[in-house]
Amino acid sequence: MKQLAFIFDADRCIGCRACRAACSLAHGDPPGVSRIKTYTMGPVGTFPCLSMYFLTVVCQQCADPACAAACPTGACFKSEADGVVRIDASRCVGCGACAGACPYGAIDVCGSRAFKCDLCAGDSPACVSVCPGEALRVADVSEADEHARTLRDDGGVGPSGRFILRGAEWIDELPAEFEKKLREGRYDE
Amino acid sequence: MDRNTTSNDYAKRLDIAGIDGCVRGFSGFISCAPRTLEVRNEEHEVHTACRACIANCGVIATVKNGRVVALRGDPVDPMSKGKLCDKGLSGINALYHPNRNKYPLLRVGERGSGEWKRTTWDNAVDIVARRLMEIREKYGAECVFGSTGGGGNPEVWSCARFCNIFGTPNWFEPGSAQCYLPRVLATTMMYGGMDSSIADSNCLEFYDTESTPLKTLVLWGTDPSYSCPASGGRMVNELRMKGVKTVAVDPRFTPDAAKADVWLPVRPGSDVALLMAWIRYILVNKLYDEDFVLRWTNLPYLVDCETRFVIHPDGSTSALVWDKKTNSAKTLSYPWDDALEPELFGEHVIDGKLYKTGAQLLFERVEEFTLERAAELCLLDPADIEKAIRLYAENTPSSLCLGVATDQGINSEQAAMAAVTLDLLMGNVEKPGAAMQRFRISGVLKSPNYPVPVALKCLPEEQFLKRLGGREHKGLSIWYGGHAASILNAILTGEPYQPRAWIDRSGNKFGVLAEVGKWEEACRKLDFIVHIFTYPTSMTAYADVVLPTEEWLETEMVVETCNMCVARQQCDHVFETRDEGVIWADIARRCGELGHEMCRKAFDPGFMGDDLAYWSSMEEFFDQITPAQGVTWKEYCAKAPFEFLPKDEWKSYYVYLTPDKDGIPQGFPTPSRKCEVYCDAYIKLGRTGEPFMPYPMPPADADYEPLPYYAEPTESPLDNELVERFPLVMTGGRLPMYHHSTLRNMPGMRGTAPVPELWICPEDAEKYGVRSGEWVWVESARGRTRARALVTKAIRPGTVYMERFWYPETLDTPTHGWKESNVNVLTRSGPPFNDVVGTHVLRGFLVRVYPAESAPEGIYTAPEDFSGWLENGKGRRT
Repeated sequence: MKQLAFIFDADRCIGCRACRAACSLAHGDPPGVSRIKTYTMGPVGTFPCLSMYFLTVVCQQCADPACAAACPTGACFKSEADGVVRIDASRCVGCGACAGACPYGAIDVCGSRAFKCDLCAGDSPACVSVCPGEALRVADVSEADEHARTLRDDGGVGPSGRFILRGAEWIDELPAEFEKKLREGRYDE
Repeated sequence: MDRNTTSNDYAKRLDIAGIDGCVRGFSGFISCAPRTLEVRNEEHEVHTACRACIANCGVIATVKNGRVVALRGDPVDPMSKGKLCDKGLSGINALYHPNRNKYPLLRVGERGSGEWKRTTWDNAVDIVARRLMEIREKYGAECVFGSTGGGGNPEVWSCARFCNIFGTPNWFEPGSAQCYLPRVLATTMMYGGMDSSIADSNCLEFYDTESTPLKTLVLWGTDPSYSCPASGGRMVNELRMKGVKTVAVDPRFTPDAAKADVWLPVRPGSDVALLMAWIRYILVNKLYDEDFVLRWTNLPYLVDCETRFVIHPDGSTSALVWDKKTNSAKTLSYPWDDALEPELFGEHVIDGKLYKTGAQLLFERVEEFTLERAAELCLLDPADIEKAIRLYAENTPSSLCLGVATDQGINSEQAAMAAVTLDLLMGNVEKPGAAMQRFRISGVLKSPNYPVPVALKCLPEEQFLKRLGGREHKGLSIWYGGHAASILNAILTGEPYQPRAWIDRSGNKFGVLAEVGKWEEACRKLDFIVHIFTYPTSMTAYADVVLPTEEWLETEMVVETCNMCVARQQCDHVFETRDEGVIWADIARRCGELGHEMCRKAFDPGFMGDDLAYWSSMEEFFDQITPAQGVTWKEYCAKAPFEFLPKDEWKSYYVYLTPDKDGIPQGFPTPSRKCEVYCDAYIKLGRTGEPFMPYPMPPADADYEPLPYYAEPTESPLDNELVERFPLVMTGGRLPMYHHSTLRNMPGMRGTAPVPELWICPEDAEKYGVRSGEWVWVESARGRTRARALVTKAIRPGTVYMERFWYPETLDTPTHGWKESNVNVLTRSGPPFNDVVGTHVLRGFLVRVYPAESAPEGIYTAPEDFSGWLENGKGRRT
């Protein structure tokens, strides 16, 4: 079965956040909404032997999406044809249930609607074409390197996004949670 | 979105009040109606170039019904290859920002009260010209000073040109001695070609990532991922992906440091000690390119130890060397003499006088800087230093790219000299894989980087000699400029004379000038201040006249990117903004009409010659520039972007080996035609101003040194007494979403980085009671300001980092946005300065950090706070 998702090469990401700016501009999203987020995974280690990499996270196009399960109106659904999780704006009431359910923080709610990656409706995604590191691409997950990882999956949602990392040791934490813990000095190495 | 909707805002009132209507508040000339556009049902694309920073990344702008609606990278651009960054993508928001300067404004209330009156351009220009002329007549033209900057102003020479024509030697740019000029000067003096600054769009060799044989790249005090993500950041990343090894020298663990093979978290301000250790190690271990050093540098030349000059027996290109074959001093004629075997290291007494080779003097200069000594001074592990040097010296070809970091301390020029020395010792010059090159150029840019000629000949000698700081810091004259700290001192003390008027085209001088509290005091002593910019900043609060300039999507400029000619083209135009190239010309014209003879002559093509007569429009100016490519400006725009040479022809390697008219290798554009590692030209520069000054100036207080030397930072953590009060070293550096003082009014950027962070390592945070995410006071001997703490290992222990900042949202308060969270409240504008170029200290000074009770008042941090800065409230929560 076809499953489109982002394949992200962390060795190539330079942490510049151009992807986020391009996404906001392409969609005309309000401030504070971001369908794509870059997390700083580190630094960890003992100075000066440190390690740090970036993870750019969008909707993971899960096999069993928690957002769709939580959606009270049926606006959020997984498409059979390409495996992409979509939100039908006409049915969305902006209740935020999907955002609360998503383990990856990939949905933002603003006003009366939810915002998530729509793969730029099939066009070449704005984030992909702008990326200075050429770290992002959208493909069928079967095309991903066999060593590519997925994000940590505690809830058994089956994230489809793939992550390539050779230059550092993978930190198997949810990126948003990790970043917050590290910033607050609560991350135990 | 309905563009014709007029909300309840200032511009509507303005339209009613019209010319001479009064408004109050800096947020007063702010909110505005969207411009009413003629409706054209068409869509077209414009190939242009970004100018949200000093890079010129190719952009394709989609213009629909006369309005810019989309931006994307131009794939033909050889440096950015279709990529853009956060800054560039903010262009549309910047263009249609409700908070633009839209009309010329005159202050009507007290300075800083924010009471303004709209006026016409003619009236504004007349008022400015009259005030400048009055001051000139009463006190002398030197009492007017100019300044420029503002986020990589594409017309940096426009200010210099106006000042030269008006007759004042005093203009400055807060970068120059603190940014890039030290590196340009050292490269020009010692080599004569392009420098190795990635962030200044050099290192063109590396953009051909597929074919460059580069194997090791040293990123010293530079982080292209943050400073120029789409061009330099992209390029370095591609090189890394294809296996190029990198060394990052940076107290911050930046993205490029995280991806480096060796990271040297140097103590800020100690870089020259480390550079000297690299030089020593390479000399002692004979890792240098001996053939290049002997034949193409002046290191084998004998130096008279008393005069400190190289001996040139028959003109500047011959030299005295010690011939090992005959064991005697011989004259080496340029370029080389196979009959001789010049000695590299040695000292000899000839006729009772002591002579040493340049290499010997260099070695003596670096001798004390063993790996261990450097490790001690720079707080590094000697094994890591050795590993880095070995990579650089053995995994070749290699290059050392020096960034802005070392430009921001008093050892600035010497850092640049030491870095150039290293690449020259390694023979990393004009060969494939080397940063230092002289590739061919299109000929459209007559002045360095920007086409506006500075018209130096218009400045009379007696006026030139009044340049503040000019005698002491003659290196500044490579950019024809004055010394900011000396101008500040003159305003505050009246010595040697009292400056009276300031005409500034830049973003926020209160965000970027050192020890900026003193500039507020200085403003009180000035009779007249003009601010020329695209939107109101803290600087505006001190202005008497505000002139609105164009955003980059409104401007036009010739741009050269590798082997391509690019055109920045006007995509739209809003309100009454004008290109600054025209504003300066208009002021000069009016001064001419009011009796200023040189300003009148500046419009005479016969008199101006190559300096070009002043123009009425940018097109008129560019039409004098683009004929170098055989086209008019309009034709150039239609054609651009285009290759002026095929890539392989453009990349001219080994220029120094190509024969001159006499059939001998042309060498380098230095007096000796060799790379001058022992650079006695610095001594001459300090004594006379040669080769940059048009008139000789009296000598500087002390000779400039022909070789680099290490100077411990003025505020040193090795100073036990000072460290008791201020125990932490402050450093600076870029973030990818901001450029200099610009873009703090962009909702997108502020959404990502709403306030400046103070980076502090976990041990120091604990010691000083600092918690991540909470506000802290940061205090130096000059003042205190607030930042939000980020406890992170990404900054070396004993050091803290803070980005420059100001808040557009508090312009209407007594802080005028610059006092709350501005590291430049803390920096040093006073002496000692770098001897050659007068650098003051922006990094590597001492501070203390302690918890603050609260955040500054009135600042924006939540995303919805910023929605008023979107055009027509676009994206406002519904």
